[in-house]
Amino acid sequence: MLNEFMAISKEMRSIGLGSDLLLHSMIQPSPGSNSLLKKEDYRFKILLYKNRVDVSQIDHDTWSKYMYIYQDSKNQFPIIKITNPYEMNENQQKKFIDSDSGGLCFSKMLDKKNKEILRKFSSVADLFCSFLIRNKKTEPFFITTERLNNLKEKDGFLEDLLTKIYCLFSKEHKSKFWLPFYITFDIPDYSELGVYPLNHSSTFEAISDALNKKDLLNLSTNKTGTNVDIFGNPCIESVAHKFPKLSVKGNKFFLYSRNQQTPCYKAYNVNAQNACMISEESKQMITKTAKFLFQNKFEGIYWFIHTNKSGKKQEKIVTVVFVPVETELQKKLSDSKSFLCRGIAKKYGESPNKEINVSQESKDVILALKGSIAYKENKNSYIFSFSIPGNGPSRMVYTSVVPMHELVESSERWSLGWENYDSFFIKNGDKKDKSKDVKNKEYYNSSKSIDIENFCRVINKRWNRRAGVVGNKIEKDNTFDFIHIEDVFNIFRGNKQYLNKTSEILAYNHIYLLIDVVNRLHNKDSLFLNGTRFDILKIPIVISELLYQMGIYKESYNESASYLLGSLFAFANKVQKDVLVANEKTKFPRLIGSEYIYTLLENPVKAVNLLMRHSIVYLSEAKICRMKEYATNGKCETHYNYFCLSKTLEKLKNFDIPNKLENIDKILIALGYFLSK
Amino acid sequence: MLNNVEFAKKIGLLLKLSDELHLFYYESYKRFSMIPKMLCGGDSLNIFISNPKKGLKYLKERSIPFVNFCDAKRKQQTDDWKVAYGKLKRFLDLFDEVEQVIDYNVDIVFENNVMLSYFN
Repeated sequence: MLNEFMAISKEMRSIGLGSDLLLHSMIQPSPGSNSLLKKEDYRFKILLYKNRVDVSQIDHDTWSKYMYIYQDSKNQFPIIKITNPYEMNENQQKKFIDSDSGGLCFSKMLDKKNKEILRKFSSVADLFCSFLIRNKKTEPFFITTERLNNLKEKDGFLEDLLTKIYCLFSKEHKSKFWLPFYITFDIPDYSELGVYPLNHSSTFEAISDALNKKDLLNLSTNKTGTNVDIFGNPCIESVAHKFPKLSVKGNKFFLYSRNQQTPCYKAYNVNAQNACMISEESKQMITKTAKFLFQNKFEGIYWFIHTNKSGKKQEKIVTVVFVPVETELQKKLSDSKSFLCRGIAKKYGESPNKEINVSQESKDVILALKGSIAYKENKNSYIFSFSIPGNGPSRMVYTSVVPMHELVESSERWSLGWENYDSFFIKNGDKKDKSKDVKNKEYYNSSKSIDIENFCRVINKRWNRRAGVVGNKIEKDNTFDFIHIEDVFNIFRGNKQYLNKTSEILAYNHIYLLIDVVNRLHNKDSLFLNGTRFDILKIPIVISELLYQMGIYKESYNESASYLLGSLFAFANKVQKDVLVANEKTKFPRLIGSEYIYTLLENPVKAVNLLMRHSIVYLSEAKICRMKEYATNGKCETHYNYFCLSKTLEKLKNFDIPNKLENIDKILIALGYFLSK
Repeated sequence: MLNNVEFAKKIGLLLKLSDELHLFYYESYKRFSMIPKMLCGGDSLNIFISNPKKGLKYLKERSIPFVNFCDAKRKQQTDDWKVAYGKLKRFLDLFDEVEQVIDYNVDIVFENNVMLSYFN
């Protein structure tokens, strides 16, 4: 149970959903070390409550009170102290904090400017405040476990929540689990939109399901008609000028796109009994959010909330659920050739021992796509559906039975995608792989050369981990595929927000891979040339497509400095090779361009200097050869590569070589290095 | 006043021209098999990169025979004296120009530009 809860909380936290019930089961904070969080960590977190309190009724001063919440780890049970730090001096505050050095202290001193912003939001603070106001507690109030037990009023959500959490963990108390229940604040600027869309409905449903199963919280939406408001972290950007129409028919909203008359999104009003009850302002708000949603192609179910800005009139809260009629992922699923299905087939193809009914799984997938997560503990597989915060498409994750820590770790990666990729290591040679081929043996035993297969395996493993497979070993077959960069790019395709991200990924991983491949091609690695490993050569094609989508066309980047630099290094390789061939040398050293291409990505000026210094001999020889030829015959046929190099140098004259490169420049360098022929 | 980069490019061009002079020497005698692997420009490139003053001095010493050869051609008014004179004049003009503004800092950008303009 704890694990489950932990996973959920972690998942919610990583996705950015406004909830945080972090359960530090194993790691207790050591005394004195980082007892105070930094300002960056103040995030607007938990927001699960039944009865929403109108925040506008609360005075300004009450905001400043009760905001000091911390948890004491000396006691076995969680204690949430609520005080007014403004009433204290600074020394007293420090003492107050230091008195529980072992505990996690979370405080937020609210400025007067922020108060007004905070008023717009419901957060946990207003829960506390409302709770305190309702109970007429104006003094610093300590919620202890004893008090929680002795609480008479149980209608408030806070009491319910805390008691339930307490009940949950009092059972686990014997195994020394403890719960730092903390509440943090962040003040994002939602003033433009005024409405808070939730784009992580699936996770919410998972949580609500999980909680409902255990009878922790009764978060029923449809039947009882109570409000369930969850605030996510919406990506508010400039709202487009185009937005769909919104029509109200009975209890249902329908969103129409401008061009098409068919309803593309259905919107149901869950809360309000009649649609007429919604005022015009709230309608406008809904249209605004619909506009926002429609523009950004959100998929899923959304909860909206609208409060009266004036604060004088108490307006009913409107909770609206948007249900997309047809998602793109569903379309993909129906197509058997799609990436998702392939992923499933591949995953279950890898485990021959288990007999899994594919149709059942596909049903689960469809269920998950609809928004309800199939979170199974009993079966051998988990299915998660994540949605990337912002404009990202939702992502399916299939796992086998995974240890919880791995699940928690990987959930962050899944949700955040590429951002939290740590550095990976390349191992030299796979000793376990015993191939019959003698060359292969030598190849694998060679310590100097980078094992490209292993390299790819490392990346592919990560890739698969991201895409879904966790804990499954990749089969060591000859049919081992390289990174399916096309598939990955397909995920990002169409979402221009993620193009930069993709470019970062490319600059981070694939550029080096590509360069390694090209180096091998330059050096004529016979082992590499065998087999089907040319699949990796698709990368430049995909990169060029990426650039095209980013609005960088070939005509423009063909003569950019970074592209020319890449081609310069490639030509330097070729010139050196030509000279070596002309001198009848059979054994080539490591070519200069391939040696310094990696430094080019980091420090171009230094790399160019190194290249030119080390290739003076070859270049001058090629130059003299060409001059000689021209003097005798009036033609230059040999050392054509030197001619190309000199041409690129002529183009490079117009540019200053930059000291640092951006991601796109790196990509262009790799393209130039690859495509210069 | 020349920019540092421009100065470097000039030096590269100067080395290029000195190479041409050197090659012209062998070309006129048709001794193509005698051409060394490093012409005088490429030979003095390394010194130029580290110390332009020394490099210029070295280039001056190294290119004296070819300059004299071209000058003699001009005086004798042989068939190809115009070609020789043109090459010589370009070289000497640039040499004077570089010699006047030789006090420049040597850094990695300077080196790069010298080499890039030389091999261009």
